[in-house]
Amino acid sequence: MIHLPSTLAIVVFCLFVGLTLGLSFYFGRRTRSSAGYFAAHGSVPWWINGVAFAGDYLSAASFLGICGMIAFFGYDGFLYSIGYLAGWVVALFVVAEPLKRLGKYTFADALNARFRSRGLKLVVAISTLVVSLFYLIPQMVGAGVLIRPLLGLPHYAGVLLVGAVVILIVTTAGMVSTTYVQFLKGLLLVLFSTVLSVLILDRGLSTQPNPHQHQFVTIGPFPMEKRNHLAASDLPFPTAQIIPPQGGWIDKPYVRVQLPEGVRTFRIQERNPQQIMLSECQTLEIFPTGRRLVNGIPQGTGEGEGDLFPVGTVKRLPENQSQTGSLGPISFFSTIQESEILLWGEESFTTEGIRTTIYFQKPTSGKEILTPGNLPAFKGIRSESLGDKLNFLSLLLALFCGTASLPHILIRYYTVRDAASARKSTVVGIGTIGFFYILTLIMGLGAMTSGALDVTDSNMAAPLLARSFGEFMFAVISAIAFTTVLGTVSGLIVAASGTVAHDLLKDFLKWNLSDTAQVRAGKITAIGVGAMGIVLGILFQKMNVNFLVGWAFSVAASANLPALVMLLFWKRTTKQGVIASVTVGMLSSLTWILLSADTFKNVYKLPVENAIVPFSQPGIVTIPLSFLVLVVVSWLTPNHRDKIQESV
Amino acid sequence: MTNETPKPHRFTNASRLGLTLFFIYSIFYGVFMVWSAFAPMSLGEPLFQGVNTAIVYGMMLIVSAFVLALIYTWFSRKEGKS
Repeated sequence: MIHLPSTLAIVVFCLFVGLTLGLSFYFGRRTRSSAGYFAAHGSVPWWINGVAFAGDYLSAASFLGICGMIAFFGYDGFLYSIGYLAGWVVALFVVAEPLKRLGKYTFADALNARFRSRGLKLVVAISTLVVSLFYLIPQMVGAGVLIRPLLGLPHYAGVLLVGAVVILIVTTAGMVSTTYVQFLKGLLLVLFSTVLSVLILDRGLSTQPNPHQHQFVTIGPFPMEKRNHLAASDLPFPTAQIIPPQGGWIDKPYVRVQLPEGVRTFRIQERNPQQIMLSECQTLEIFPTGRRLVNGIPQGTGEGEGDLFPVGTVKRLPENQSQTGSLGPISFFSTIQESEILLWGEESFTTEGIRTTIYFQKPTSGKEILTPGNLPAFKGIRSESLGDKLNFLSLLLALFCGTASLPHILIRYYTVRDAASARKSTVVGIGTIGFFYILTLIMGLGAMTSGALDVTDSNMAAPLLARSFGEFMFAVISAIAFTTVLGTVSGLIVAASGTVAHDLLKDFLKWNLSDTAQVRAGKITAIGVGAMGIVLGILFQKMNVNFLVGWAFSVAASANLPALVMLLFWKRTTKQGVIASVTVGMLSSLTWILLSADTFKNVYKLPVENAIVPFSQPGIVTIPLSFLVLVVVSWLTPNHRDKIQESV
Repeated sequence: MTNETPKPHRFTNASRLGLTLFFIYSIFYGVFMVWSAFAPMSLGEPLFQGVNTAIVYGMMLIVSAFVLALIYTWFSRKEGKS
């Protein structure tokens, strides 16, 4: 769909960016030392750090990705919310306190506190950089996705803009400015998500949420024998001509009708064994030259042009009401459970370089939408396929274990004074993030029934939902989504620059850096990583945002968590064991991902049958493998404690 | 490589309580994982005032994480202060 930028959105956006930059310059004048630059002097109040946790963690994938996934597929998007939040339990109960006690600036500090080994520093620093980079790419891609409808600029402009602003934030005051930008973003995100949710509940549900909505028609029933012999006279278009199927349309269940205002496409659906129905579809054809046809006419807003219609409506409410009026959260969920919602499916083919995508109506019961297994990737859990079930369990396991292994989250523990403050800030973080994730279900289902969705782009669900409440909400929610990217990317760049300056240059390469030189090295790295993020954000433009975040979680959980947990709870752990575990965890999860059906389909564009590993999510195999490697290698290598006993 | 200098493990009351709560939550989350994977359709049945089991269980997982976190922080409030 074509989204026209609004002046209000541009004004609000500039205001937000100006505010974050103003904060950075203000703090920048006071941050000179490395303790200030990398860990905000350990002096951030716990409640600010708690909200900043939310600002750091709730990335573009959380906000745009989950809302979009719920809006298009229902409950399965909420499974991500649950998994992302449950991970915080591991962070608080297992990791927070020892990490705070053992480390100073980086995650590698804590892992290496007992051993002081250069090899271990190197391996953990590499895994930190790999995870941060995987996490960085989808954020940058998300920025590019947002900038188009918000400011009317092309994808690369969004990526460049985020890159430039974030480099400014990080180089001015490092962790101090990053913390306050994240605090501000976390606060605004939760506040306006609450406002949006209240507006959704107040509006209630309606079978026609938008009075100007295109009414998608369903024609029939026709007897089954008409299936391949439908004539123009059967349809309610007296001047119509049926287009004979050609190219990719041959043997597909569609009838296309040429009308003066364009092409109408209908999908032939079985109503029962004796009858068929025709339901209206939307089509998008993209030519090699970039020309786009929507429902047979050029895409645009001028004369003789057209665009895809917004979608997302309730088809039938309980007791055939047309609208419910305002609802409470419980009655909102129970009404959807008893309604029928018009979801959309899609099918594509390419003929002579022209990519045709057909979007067809898929009326689905509310009960099915609110049950796990509606998302194509999770469909298998409703079947008997053990591979699909393992894939699903593997993802939920990676979400559970991944949070406590993400370096950019863990370094926030070094910004507070002591272990007690670390615990209190995590509670504030869990409260804020949990509350937001509860709202994602209301916002996602609100978008699903708002009549405002773009059928081609699930990432736009939340901003478009906001637009259905007026331009002001659209402007604010889009600007917040953009600030969301700024907050998370700043955190990632601080984590990466700390790792390079502190772990690699100072500890591994043994460069004798003064305090000021460390800060300078950190700033130069921030510029380098920011620039790399810009390039990758432009290169990976077409990648699905949530897909890459999933990679980061799996690699983080496999590489970092086993080492961290075993180091804390198993006295026999040796440095060789830790090095082997991090290396094997990182390489095995990466290799698994590169050989999986998901990557074959989305990256290599190869048939999924050729994939080498039996399911796509690595966690269920690679996390235990990393634990096992640590135990075996630790048993095989001498422990310093044993040596002491022998000498005694 | 430099010498290994192991530090003795110190298990505070906070970490003991943390591990107990972690164990409780893991069981709660684990049951949800297995239930969703092996009997997803049964989660679609209404449980509380027309809201289905999947939503009630999911919301409880989110709320209970917060409640357990509060319990943990309250009972370990005197430890780890500088």
